[in-house]
Amino acid sequence: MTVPLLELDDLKMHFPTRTGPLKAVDGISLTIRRGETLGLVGESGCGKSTLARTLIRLYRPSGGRVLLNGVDITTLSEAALRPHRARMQMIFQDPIAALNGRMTVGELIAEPLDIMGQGTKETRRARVADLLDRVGLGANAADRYPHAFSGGQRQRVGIARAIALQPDLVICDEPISALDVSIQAQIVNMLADLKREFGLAYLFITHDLSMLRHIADRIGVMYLGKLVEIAPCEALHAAPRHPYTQLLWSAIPVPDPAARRDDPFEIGEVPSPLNLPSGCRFRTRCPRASALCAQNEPALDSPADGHAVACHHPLPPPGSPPPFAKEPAHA
Amino acid sequence: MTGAVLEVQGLRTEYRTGNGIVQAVRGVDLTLQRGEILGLVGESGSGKSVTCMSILRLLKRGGQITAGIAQFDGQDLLQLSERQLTRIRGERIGVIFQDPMSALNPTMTVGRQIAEVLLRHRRMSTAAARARAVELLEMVRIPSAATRIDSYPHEFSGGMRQRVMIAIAIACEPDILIADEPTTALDVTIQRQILGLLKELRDRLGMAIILVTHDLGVIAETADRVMVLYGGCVMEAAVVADLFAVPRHPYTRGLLAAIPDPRAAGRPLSPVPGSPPDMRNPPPGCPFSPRCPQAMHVCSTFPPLYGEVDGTGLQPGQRARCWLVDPAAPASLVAEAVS
Repeated sequence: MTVPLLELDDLKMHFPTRTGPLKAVDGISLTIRRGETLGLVGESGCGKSTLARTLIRLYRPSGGRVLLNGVDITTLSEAALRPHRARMQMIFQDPIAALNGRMTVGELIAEPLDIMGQGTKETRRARVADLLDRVGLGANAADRYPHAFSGGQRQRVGIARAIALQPDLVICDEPISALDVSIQAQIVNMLADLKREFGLAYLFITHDLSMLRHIADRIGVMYLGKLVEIAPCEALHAAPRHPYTQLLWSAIPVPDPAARRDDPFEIGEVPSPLNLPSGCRFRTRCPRASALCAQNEPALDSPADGHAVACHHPLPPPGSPPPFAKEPAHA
Repeated sequence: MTGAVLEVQGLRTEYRTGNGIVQAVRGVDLTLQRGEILGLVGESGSGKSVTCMSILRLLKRGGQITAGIAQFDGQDLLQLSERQLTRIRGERIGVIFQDPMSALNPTMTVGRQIAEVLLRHRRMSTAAARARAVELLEMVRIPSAATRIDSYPHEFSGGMRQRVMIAIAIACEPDILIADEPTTALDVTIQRQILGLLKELRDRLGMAIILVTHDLGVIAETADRVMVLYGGCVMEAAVVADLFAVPRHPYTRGLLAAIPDPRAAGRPLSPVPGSPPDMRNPPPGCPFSPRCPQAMHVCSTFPPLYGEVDGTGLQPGQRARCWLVDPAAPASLVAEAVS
């Protein structure tokens, strides 16, 4: 068995507060294979951004392990972590805030190469020109400043900077949420091209579920610090098994007036992460909840088809007969 | 009750900035029918929000309306004194914004903020205003309204704050509610609940809604009619079903191709190439011509008219600002361009 690129084993990130620990990430296990895109979705406050920051070791995890290429990086010192950091890069929602406005685009993209001491000044310059070409900005963008660019172009600069060190994994935290519709598709298509070209793996965090379908190989759904379902992209779209996933899917606005729904959608809001429900965290909003759900927290199962769900009463898989269906009459 | 509740014609708005004049709105016509939900869709800088804020004359510093009329209830909103306008804002025309936290007063309970509107516009005792505020919170589906009325905005979630904003905006049962990106900052689950609430309130109170959004999915789920803005101009307007079924402007078609359909399998997305125009120096012809896959020579020189004429093949009520659907386009110019 090959070693996965990234493996999270019961990863936890708890923040102390006056009213007790805020369990932002509360025991997440998952893997990302080389060259794979894992999409991560959930409502705000579900812990998806905290998970990204924890696995890249911007935070020191409260528990569990992070393995990168089979190496446990959970407790490495800053110095020991450095070569591993180069294997994981991050792009952010707001490229304006993420880029230093006093540096030229060329300097910004060269900075990771400088820090890691890669190449000579000349080879770095050539590398920057090459990267600018690949993200569709052109080499002569190097001498300009980020403020001279539009939001979409700035995100391209952020991407060039992230791939400068030829990482194995790029963590994309809401990279298109602040961009205009016509520009979002440009960036998503470019990320797909770069993935093919460089064999990149992505952890793609977003609340835009419909866009995820165009980029993810697998999708994980988070709710209040837990992974409630993870499955291949098409399986998750075609037949979500967790009631929460189904709820999220049905909330996406459909760009077709003929498919307009007028059914009531009163499912309330996410409970406070400081005051988690007993048992299953989703039970307070769940149409399928039973007494069992208040007592026992369901664990994520691990079936052979890779479609895992943490639910006592999951929706039936496709093709299975409805629970109380009559036997078809024999003629 | 039928007929137009608001009629805007030839609206032009500019912004003076440190490095030039931004021509944010460049001749927008808009008719809002009583009780309808009119969607304004466009990307950032298209002029959709500035159009709405011009109608209410709530422009940020440096903003100036340079032309146009906005006819509401027999008067031109753009000519009213500030004093006259104050009586219309909040009473006859309500407004909600993307970020309710910055619109709410953090030092006042939500009950007082709702009551304030009622006391200003209605002859009402403080006790009656408070009772009405509870009713309004119930109407926008805030659980345990009678106790939540004494909470402060920070004690509410984002979705609940937006409900409070809506309660304030509809307190006087306005004729028009302007909703400027009301769900953009919210999760999809909350978005769907808020959009459902807006539709329900429209049905119940009969108010017209102008819904500003960048999300065509939100438009498809909510609006009766839709106007697509780009570069400060209306590119296309139509009944919502027609806009999605038979879009006639290349920009509308580009937008529709660029958005993912949650029901479709991994269809590759077709982005609109290029970037939006710099509105300090907009293109002389059609603002979309530099990005338009069907641009002709005429498009980059002469702005097309906003057509609603026979012989264009447009649906009833559909209008498009494009040389391709203008039968009055000088045939020689178009032919020259194509050849």
